[in-house]
Amino acid sequence: MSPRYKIEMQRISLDKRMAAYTLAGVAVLAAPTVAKASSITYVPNIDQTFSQPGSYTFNPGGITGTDITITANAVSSDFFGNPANEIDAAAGAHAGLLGFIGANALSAGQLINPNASCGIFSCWTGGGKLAGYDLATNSSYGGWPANGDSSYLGFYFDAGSGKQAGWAQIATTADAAGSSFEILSYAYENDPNTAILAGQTVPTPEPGTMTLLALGGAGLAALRRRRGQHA
Amino acid sequence: MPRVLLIGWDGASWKQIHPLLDAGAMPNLARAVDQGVMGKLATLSPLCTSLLWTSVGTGQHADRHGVLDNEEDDPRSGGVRPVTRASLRVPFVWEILAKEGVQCQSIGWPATHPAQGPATCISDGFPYGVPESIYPQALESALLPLRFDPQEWTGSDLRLFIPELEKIDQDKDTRVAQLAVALAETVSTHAAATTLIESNSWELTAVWYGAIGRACALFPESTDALYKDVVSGAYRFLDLLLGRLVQLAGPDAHVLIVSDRGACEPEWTPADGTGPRGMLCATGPGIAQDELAFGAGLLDIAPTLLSLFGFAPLQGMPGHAITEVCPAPPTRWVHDETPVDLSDGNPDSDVARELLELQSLGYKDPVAESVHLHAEVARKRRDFHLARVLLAQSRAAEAVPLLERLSSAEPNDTAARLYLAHAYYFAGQQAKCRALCEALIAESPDSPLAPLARAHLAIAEGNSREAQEQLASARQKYGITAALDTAIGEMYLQLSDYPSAAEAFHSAIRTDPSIAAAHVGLARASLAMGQYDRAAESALDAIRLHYETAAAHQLLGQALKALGREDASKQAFATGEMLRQRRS
Repeated sequence: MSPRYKIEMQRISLDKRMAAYTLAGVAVLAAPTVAKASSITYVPNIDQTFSQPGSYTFNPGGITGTDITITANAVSSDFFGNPANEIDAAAGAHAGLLGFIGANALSAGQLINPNASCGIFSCWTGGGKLAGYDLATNSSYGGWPANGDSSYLGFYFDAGSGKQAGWAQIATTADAAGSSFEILSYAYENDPNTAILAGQTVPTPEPGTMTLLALGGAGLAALRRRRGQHA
Repeated sequence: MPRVLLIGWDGASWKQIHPLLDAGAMPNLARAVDQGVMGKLATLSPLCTSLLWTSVGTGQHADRHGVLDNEEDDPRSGGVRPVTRASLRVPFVWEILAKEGVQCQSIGWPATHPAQGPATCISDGFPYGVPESIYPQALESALLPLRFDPQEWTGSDLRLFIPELEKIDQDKDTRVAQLAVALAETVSTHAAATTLIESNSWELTAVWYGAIGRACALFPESTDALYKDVVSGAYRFLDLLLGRLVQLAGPDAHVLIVSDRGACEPEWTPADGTGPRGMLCATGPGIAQDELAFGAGLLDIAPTLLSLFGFAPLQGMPGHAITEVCPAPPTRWVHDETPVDLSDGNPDSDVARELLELQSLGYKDPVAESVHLHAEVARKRRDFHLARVLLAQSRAAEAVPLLERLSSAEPNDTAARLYLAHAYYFAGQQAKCRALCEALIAESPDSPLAPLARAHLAIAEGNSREAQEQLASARQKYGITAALDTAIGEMYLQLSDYPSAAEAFHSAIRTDPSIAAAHVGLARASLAMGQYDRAAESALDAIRLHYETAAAHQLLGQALKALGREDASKQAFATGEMLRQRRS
């Protein structure tokens, strides 16, 4: 057995360094706290109301063709030819709205995947009705609430780097008296080809890439599945 | 049977780790430090990745294990290829243990390609999709899909290491791509390692990560500010992986985290002749908590692993089991110490024979001829490394002919000639040493090392007057430097002028307190003047800086004995003798 002796000076300085650590019940897989850029642009508290005739255009991509316009129309024909008050949404040439024929009203947390392929009931469209009032049947249509409640509009725009997903929270009113809407807020992903959840304002609170990779083989498989879903 | 997890972090150093620990950025390593022992590992020379890690894995110097460089001859092309098992001449410690019935597996260790038994082996070729990288083959279906392609990284992933990634013109600067390759290698290795740890029955797992060493090579400290977070990011990433490995190994496992050298530190500090140290952190049953380990080196890891399984080191292994990690003495010996025999069973030798036959028939490959030059350069580099390996073992006489051949072939190779002068000096060939030194000095007359070199030579030749003149000249020309003052102190020691020697050593230490030789000299001078407390303190200062200095322990022993502390003095003498024998 080799003898050894303690060097007190070195040990004291080591103890001082050790006392500065923050150990605790951090999870074994605590993510590294290196700097990371926020991946979502969030524009809150817009709170602007538009009554018929009126429209609001926002241009998240900042270039021509990436604009999205919401319009409150007075007594215009709906898809079925009945005159009614309605609220429409239209996307520019480099944008799209999530919905079938029209743009669907989404609930908070619904997935908006900019690269989702079209299915029967979900697709990317260039525009459509949000909320409207059918005078003939005395009912609302379009999928969006007509009573002033809010829903989420899913959209994407392509500013040249790939499709960036986003959402807009809009409160819609349409009845025999007229139509109006209030733009509450909107947000979009800064990373192209990355899904966003309706209402999401911070990066996805699920395990980050490095945390998944730290799990090893199982985490790598999970990461590949996740990226395959969002591709 | 214990469970032992050996984790290699290429190029990691405590100097870089401590600020990250202080900031709470490496919680898993911090936990291991708190629960176990930590220390520095004396490294070997030269600082060549494959050479060093093969010494860690085999417990042998490179002249014995055969891996002298990161490249080796490729008999198929006549050029070079990354070093493989073809260069290896002794088994890895996990192969030795596997033959003794211990279930072992290695993942990603340098120079393990192509993968072969008796232990489960995922070679260092695995991350690159090279065939024959998995042994046994039955594991291929489970492990091959785990290879992570660098193309799978996204910009968001790499921004964790380079926050301003978008500012880099990747068409001109390929380092981002190279970093992506290095990180992908780490992910592949980790995925394979965790899968094996979870699914295989094992007792020893050795896994190697190269991310820190590669990051340091790509982005040294003086590099562009855009890359300032890469190296720390690599450390943080490996800490994350460490947490998972420790979790999978279980609370009863011994975990050893080792590095071969500090990759971001200079290879040699001229002031005191020391190089960058590796790191050691060990935790597990029976390992003392919150302790420091002293005097360990790379060659001690393999004996330590043997000892953890109850085996004594092999005959001829220069290292020793680290007692802070395995205090219990071994109880058994390895049965079969036969080294690996790479004779005609090696397919490379068949290829080499066939090529010789073709060449004898007059066949010439113009492409092959163009790579022969590269192969010749690589061969010379291996000879140079071998010479340095021999010199480091105080086998200067064996290094001389190698270095003479290299210097003759490359008369302009200053490095080889400097080492040759060094070899002449320690082989006692003073006349040749002086002649070569004078030639080197004539080529670089303004080098500040010239009078210092002449002074050292004069001291060795016992010519105190010349030493005095050279040192005075150097002091006048270059002012006071710590190295110069240390040499002046040594000269005064030779003249038995102990007060002047002490003054010179004090001056050196005031300028640079990290020169172990100055503290040793001060201890010697103090002892001679009867200042025993001062001598003991100086000896301890030298030991703190460079534990392996046998003379410092001897001086400490003498000082303690003079102070009447008999038991402590015996301990110091025993340590000094052990270190002296280890070096001889």
